[in-house]
Amino acid sequence: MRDRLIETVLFGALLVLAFVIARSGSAYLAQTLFNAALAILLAIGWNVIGGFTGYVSFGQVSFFGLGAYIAALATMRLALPWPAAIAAAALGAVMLALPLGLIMLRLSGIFFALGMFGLARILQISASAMRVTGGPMGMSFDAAEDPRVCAAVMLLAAAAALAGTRLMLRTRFGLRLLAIRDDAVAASAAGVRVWSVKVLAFCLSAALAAVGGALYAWNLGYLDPSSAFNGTIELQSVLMVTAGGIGTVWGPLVGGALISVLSTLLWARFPMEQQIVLGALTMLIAVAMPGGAMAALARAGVLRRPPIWAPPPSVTAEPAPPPPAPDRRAPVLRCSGLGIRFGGVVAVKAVDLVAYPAEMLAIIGPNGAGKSTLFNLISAFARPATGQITFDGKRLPRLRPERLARSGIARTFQTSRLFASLTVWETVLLAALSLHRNRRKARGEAARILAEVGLLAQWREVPEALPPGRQRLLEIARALALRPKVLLLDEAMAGMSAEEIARVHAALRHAMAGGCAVVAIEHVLPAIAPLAARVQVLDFGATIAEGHPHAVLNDPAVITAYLGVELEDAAGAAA
Amino acid sequence: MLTVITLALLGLLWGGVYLLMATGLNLIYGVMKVVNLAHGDFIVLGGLLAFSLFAEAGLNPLAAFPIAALVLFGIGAGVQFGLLERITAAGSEGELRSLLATFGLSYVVANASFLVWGSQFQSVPFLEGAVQAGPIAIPAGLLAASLAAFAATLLIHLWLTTTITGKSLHATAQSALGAASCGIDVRRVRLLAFALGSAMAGGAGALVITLIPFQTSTGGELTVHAFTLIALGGLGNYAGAWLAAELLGLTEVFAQFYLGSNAAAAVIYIVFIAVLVVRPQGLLGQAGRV
Amino acid sequence: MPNTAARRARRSAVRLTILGFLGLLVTPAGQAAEGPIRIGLSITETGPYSPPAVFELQGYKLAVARINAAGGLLGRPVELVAYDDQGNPSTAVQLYQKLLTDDRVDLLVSPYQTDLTSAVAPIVNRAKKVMPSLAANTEAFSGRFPYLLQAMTQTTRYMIPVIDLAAAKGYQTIALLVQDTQFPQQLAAGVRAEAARRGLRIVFDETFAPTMTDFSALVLKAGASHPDMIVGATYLADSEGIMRAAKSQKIGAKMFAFSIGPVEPEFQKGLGDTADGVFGTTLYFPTLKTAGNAEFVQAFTAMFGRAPDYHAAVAYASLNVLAAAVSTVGSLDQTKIRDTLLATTAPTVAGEFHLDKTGIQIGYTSYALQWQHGKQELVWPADQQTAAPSLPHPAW
Repeated sequence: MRDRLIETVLFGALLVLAFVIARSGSAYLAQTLFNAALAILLAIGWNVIGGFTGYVSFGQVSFFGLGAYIAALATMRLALPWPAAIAAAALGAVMLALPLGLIMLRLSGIFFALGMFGLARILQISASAMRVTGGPMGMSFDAAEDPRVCAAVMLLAAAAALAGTRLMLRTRFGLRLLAIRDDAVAASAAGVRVWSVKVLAFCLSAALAAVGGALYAWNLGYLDPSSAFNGTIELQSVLMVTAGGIGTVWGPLVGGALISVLSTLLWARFPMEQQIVLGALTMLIAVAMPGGAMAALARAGVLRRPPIWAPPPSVTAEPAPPPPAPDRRAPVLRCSGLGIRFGGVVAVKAVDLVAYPAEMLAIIGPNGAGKSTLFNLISAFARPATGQITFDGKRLPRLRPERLARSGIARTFQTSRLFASLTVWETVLLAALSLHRNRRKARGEAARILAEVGLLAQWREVPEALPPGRQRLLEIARALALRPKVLLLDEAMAGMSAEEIARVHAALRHAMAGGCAVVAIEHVLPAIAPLAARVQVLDFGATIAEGHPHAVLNDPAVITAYLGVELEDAAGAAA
Repeated sequence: MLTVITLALLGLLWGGVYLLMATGLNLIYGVMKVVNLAHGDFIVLGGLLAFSLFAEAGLNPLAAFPIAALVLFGIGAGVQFGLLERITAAGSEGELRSLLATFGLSYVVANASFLVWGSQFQSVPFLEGAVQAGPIAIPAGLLAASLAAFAATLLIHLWLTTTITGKSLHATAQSALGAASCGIDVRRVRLLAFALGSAMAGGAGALVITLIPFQTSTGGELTVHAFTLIALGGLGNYAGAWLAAELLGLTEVFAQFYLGSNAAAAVIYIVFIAVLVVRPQGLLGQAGRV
Repeated sequence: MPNTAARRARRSAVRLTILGFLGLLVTPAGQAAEGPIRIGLSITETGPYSPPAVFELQGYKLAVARINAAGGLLGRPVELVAYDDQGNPSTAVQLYQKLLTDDRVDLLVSPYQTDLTSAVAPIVNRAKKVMPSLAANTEAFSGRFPYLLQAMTQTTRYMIPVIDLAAAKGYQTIALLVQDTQFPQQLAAGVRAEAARRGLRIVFDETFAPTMTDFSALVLKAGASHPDMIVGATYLADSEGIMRAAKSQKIGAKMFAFSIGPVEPEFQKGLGDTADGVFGTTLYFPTLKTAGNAEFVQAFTAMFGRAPDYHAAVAYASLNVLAAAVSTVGSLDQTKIRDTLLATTAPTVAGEFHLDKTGIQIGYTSYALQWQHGKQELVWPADQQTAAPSLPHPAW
């Protein structure tokens, strides 16, 4: 409630300010506020890609410059009115960002950051080389009649961007964005279309920067390549966002205010040392307070991101009856001859695997036997060199992991991969949303699964606050929310208490009753023996035994593999 | 034909200069997986030190070379100890934070240098003549800087592969955890690597300022150039960096001659982005596992 | 009428108070009519582009000091209101807004650098304030902004004395190397026009990116056209780079000349002996026999402890010319001041100030200098020279 109040006050202040500016007499004040609001708008745009998506960019100024040029040219050459020119700038930036995102977002970390830097340079060189942009001399055109109107529009744009990001974080898109930032691999395992979400965020960020650029051009009436693609603009955004709190809604505003005040004060007293102090401040933030000012506020319980679509609905009615049980004889998943090698090491060689509906297959084997790699192959996180996979009677084409997750093969990871900033509720909701477009259904499903694994009471916790066993449980819940036909569990029960194991068993039984095939890797058999219909033993990337649990455990080859005697013989026998 | 040979030679020599400026960054990345965004500013600082030693004391850049290297060694050690070692986060968060920290550092170094040296371009006259090889005039300064680059790369390689300290650096580069469990003091190794990488930047600056005038704000450009190069070669890969340096030098010189100088500037970035997209691990880098 | 004005002033005072409460702004109270005449400007006092701008500011300061010493302007003292724009165009715009609407200065002079001048031009023009501008490009003056007047040699005329000298020596061909930014591009256009007029041929003409550091291929290519002269439309770093590449690859010409580069002392510090024989251009030289120059050099040196450079001289000159026009008009009527400035021909330390009817400077010229034995000498035109030009450039 208090957050609501603070947010309303902040928004109100921005709007009142815009109104006062538009009516007030001081063009200087208008210009000052225009610059501040522009910086904040750009910081918000940067935050969308750098903060929410986790792609730190050193070249978002590309879109700023592009937007400025498009808007200026649209008014000069096409005689478009400014509102249309600004829209054209946003559109143009998106049209560049779309194909570019498909290419650039394949890069990660510093590569993306500097790749974007290169883009800004290429655009700057292009703008100098072209006649239509006035070349290196730049061009002048009709600026806004009244700087006060300009400033009011700019403030409104910044406020709208702020409101937009706030709103965005309360939608499924925002949820997916945060998940991708925290762990893209886990997000795709939860059925999130990582690619499209990232590209969309990139386009959004580009559009915001372009609107900023267009307004800048409108305000100034003059544009040249070096000021349109000025790296200082980038620095300012990065600094504001990190000072305020990267990946938070209010970070750019808070950081913007902090940095503007600070640099104005420094400028007055120590103009020559200003940049040194700002640089030192960046270092300090990086070392001592990576969350920026918002982290401090969040610790005090102010302006925390509220969980999406919370609280979970109460689970009242029995869940919808599970789908009719399919034919238990026909395998739902069949792998034949799967193999892959890394460098000179054969990780998996010619493994066959069959999973039947409503039945558990346990896969055991010593460390390095290739169990997890086998899962990566099945769940499309790695591409097999040999062999093929048949799922649901059809040969599986090469798919992205998220497509597979949506079509019925869900998995967990050997070392649990949860989303650091999502609550328990959101984690399961994320997966449920991959299946149900309908908000009410998704919420119901997520709540039902949380109740089933006994995590509903802890719905507002973040993973960090959960004991390890519960984290595992949450990961299983996330996979179950995809209503999989095949569930791949990678040592899911390691480190669980007896009580937690019992809960997992119950949940798995329930899933199997609905026809789900479970393939479980375990290091220690007892954890799953009660559930497993069959056991398959891997060693050195190959199957060495298969069958009923009791029979397999007494197989001499298995004993050899586990006890490690006569290694060569075991390997030979396996081949 | 003679033109093509001359251009090829110039391209190779400039490649050497670029390598000289990038090797320190590569060493630091190799051991610590940190891209030092202040690397270019360290180069400029080394260069400006050499400039002052020349202007005030008449010391030539060869004599200034070890001094600049030593000063930057100290600064590098200080930065590692006081700044980067204190960033404890791992993974992408750690990467982001160390990027930000060195980003800030870059501003501090550049603007502190500005207070000392002002903003004017400075340079040192040294070996400005040519070495005549038949019909071709080879720029003497370029040749010297290039040879120094190859020598430095070779020495680093030998040092990493033959000495104990070098091997422990190499081991840490491959797996910090593994190295620590073998009793290597990983903190000390990182300190050494960062200081050494910075020293190489300083030394490079002392030589390169005889070829390229430096201004306190030149650093950012140099960092990007150096990073482009090691990224092309495969981060942390010395042979790859060498190959990429020569490739960049040749591309630049030939593009300048045949496509025009203005196009050459864009070509470099286009090559960079293209290589990253087609082969994100760099020319000789190994693909990482998922 | 006055009633309305007073009401408006009161209303805006109320607004300012409100805004002051918002904690956003501290504005000085409005000026009394008979206070000092306030001349406003922003200048790049700090940051990488500050050194030349500080010379300009000192030129302005000296002019104000001397005007006050001589009894002020229209019987009122003169005061300079200067802010630091850090070389940032949008800051400059912000500051000129402040000068115009909050400080309500009486007169304006221009910031340093063409791009800042271009950035503030629309708002200054909208406010109908005369601004003698220290911008060398002519874009802003071709009728778009009738209140902007050029108070500096126009870019296209920078290299005229060099071409003139070359023509006098009978040189025929030019290789032109141009940095791809605003100022050098326009400069090159001037070289092309003047060369055509004087019958010299441009045999090589190429632009290069401002970030370029390796000039070997460019200079090799230029040398292949065997020009009499290698001319660079450059700044300091590129002119050094071109000279280094030429010497180390033994690419010779009878004459090497650059726009900006040799004019800076760092050119010789960076190149050593290689600087000798190279030509540059300057808009001013302390030995010039222009009106009041000896006195100006002496006063400037006394006040700031260093000799003036051309930035200081043109700034000093522009403020003096503006003040003279105000005296002639007898009021601060901006349109009359502009019309007077458009009509006058005034001798200044930087040469003869004379504008065409669009406000483009056609009086100021430029001078060729040459490094000889580690010293800059003014060598052309002949009537101003401190030493005779030494040509041709010796072979490497």
